[in-house]
Amino acid sequence: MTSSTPAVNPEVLRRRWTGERVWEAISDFWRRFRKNRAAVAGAVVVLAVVWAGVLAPWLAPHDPTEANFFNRFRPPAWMEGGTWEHPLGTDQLGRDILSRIIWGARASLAVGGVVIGFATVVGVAMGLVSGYYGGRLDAAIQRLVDILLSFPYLVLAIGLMGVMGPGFVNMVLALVYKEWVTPCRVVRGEVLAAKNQEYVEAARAVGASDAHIMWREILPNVLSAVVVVATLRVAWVILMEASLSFLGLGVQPPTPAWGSMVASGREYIFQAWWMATFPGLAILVTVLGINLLGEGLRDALDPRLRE
Amino acid sequence: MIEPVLEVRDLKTHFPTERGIVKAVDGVSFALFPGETLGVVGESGCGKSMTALSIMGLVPRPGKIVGGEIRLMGENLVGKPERELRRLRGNRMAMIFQDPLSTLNPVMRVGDQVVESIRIHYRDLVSGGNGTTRLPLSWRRSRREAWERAVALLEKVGIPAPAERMMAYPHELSGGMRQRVMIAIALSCNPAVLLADEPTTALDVTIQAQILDLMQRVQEEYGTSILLITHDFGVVSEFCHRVMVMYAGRAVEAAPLDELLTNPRHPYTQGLLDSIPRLGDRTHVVRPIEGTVPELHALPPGCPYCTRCPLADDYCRQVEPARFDVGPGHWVACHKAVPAGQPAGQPEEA
Repeated sequence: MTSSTPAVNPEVLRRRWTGERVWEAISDFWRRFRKNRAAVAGAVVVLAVVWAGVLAPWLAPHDPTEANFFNRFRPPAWMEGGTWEHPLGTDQLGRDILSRIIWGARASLAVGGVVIGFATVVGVAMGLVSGYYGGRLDAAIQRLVDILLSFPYLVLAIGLMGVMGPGFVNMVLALVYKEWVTPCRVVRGEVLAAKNQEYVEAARAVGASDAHIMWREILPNVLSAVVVVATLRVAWVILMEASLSFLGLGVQPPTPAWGSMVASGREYIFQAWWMATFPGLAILVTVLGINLLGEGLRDALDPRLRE
Repeated sequence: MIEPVLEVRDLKTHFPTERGIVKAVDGVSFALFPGETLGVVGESGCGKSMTALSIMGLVPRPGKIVGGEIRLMGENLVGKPERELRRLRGNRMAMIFQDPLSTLNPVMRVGDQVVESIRIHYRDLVSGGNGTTRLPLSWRRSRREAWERAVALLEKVGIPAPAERMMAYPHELSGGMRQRVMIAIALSCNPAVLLADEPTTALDVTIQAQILDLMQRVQEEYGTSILLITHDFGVVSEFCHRVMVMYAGRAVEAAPLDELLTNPRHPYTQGLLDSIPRLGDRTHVVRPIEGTVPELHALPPGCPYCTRCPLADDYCRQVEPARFDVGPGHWVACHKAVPAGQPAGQPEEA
């Protein structure tokens, strides 16, 4: 039958094989995404935080770990006694808070990104297999998920950190240990709904294998949910990182992290409110931005919701 | 003697349920010859679709083929391992479903879906169908070729501007266009047998005619054999060479089209034909068949149709009728269709 293939318009093939199609998809996505003002605002915040984290060495006005005992507890610039040298003031060791917040974005983003990356890969694979094959395999995986879900997140993380000791790698491990259940549950649910759709049967009728059906037919249908969940969970993981650092189990001093900044600021809250407030605001704004972005992505990514 | 492409013998597909065994397909036999269209007609729930799914090896759980033979080009499919069935699906036999919107993946461009179905059997395609040779081409090249082939297929099934349509998502196409895409997917590996399960039921009448016309052209061009499942005698009379009537999981009558339409022997076939309204004939009285198909797990011991048959007597209720030849290529499973004096109930070879 290959011989009966008529000539194909070369223009069309060229379009197919250049980046134009990708560009089309991106502009298509952007057109839908920008209608959602809140999502755009969230994206701006997230981009700003990522920017700050990546460019920290050039953006930060001071070395975040440089102590200056003649400059302790300096208030923000707009208050009496503040200087533009330290726009958000200094802490109990005279370190510049703005610089520490900018550097602290690194810790939060690194933990958030790495944890969600690993957790999503593991969770999606487990969820696909669990939902698709069902039966005993499904029961086994879901009971494991139940067990992990029955532990309070922070308590489990604290326990694991207590056993493994503080540090970046251990924190990532402790968080991934439980974090994968969320994408797993979401994907499993979506797979259960998708696997009885007729297009799955139709795929089987053209001879597709189980692996093909899982990865090529079902996964694309589940992907928008995965992206949204992953985005929203980044916010959660950043909060967890802040909590662990707050408790002294996460990023270790003198490396700046928002959570540990809030923790040390807590002791001086009546003397120097800015010490805890600004890193706290950084956490708040980042988490809010990620949430707004996640919801915007959900609306823009799903081709079924298109006009 | 022409060999049939597809031969089904005494096929039994049963579903164990809490209320008993549901015999969705119970002893169906038929043959499908090259280039032929066999219509399978019957009410909802009579086992038409399940027959097709059994042939494809896609019987949903907990159903199982418990008996019989399905010979596709001489190869028995019953009991074949899934891996081998997968090689045949889409390649030697393909299926078209009723609702083209739900059978296309909503988040994949239709072009990619046609390409996928080509690529699944690409190895067989380049190696001449036996699947033994290793793929000599790189992944990218095969993908590109599949893409070109997909455009050609869409053109073949009458989709205007096929190259642009490749980029469309299913919801951006009309019902008729979607069904054309499904046909293109079914044709992607030039199957010997096409199982069409109510391919036009979800479509407008005008589109129905176009789709049937398309299938007919495809059949003429490739010599594909088509098993057309429908409940619409209009579709049957336009398109089929032979017709098999099914009732409650059994084949009750089969005949060449004209013979069946003019000389139906089974009371059920007669009932089906009488229940069709005729356009422009005000004297024709539509006579619906009373009652519904009996529950498949609680069939009467005799003829399955005896609960609704106007001719049924005690003998019908006790003894299951066997096939009986009543004309060239025309057989019927009914005690009342047998001429007087002939012994009824003798099993006949199909």
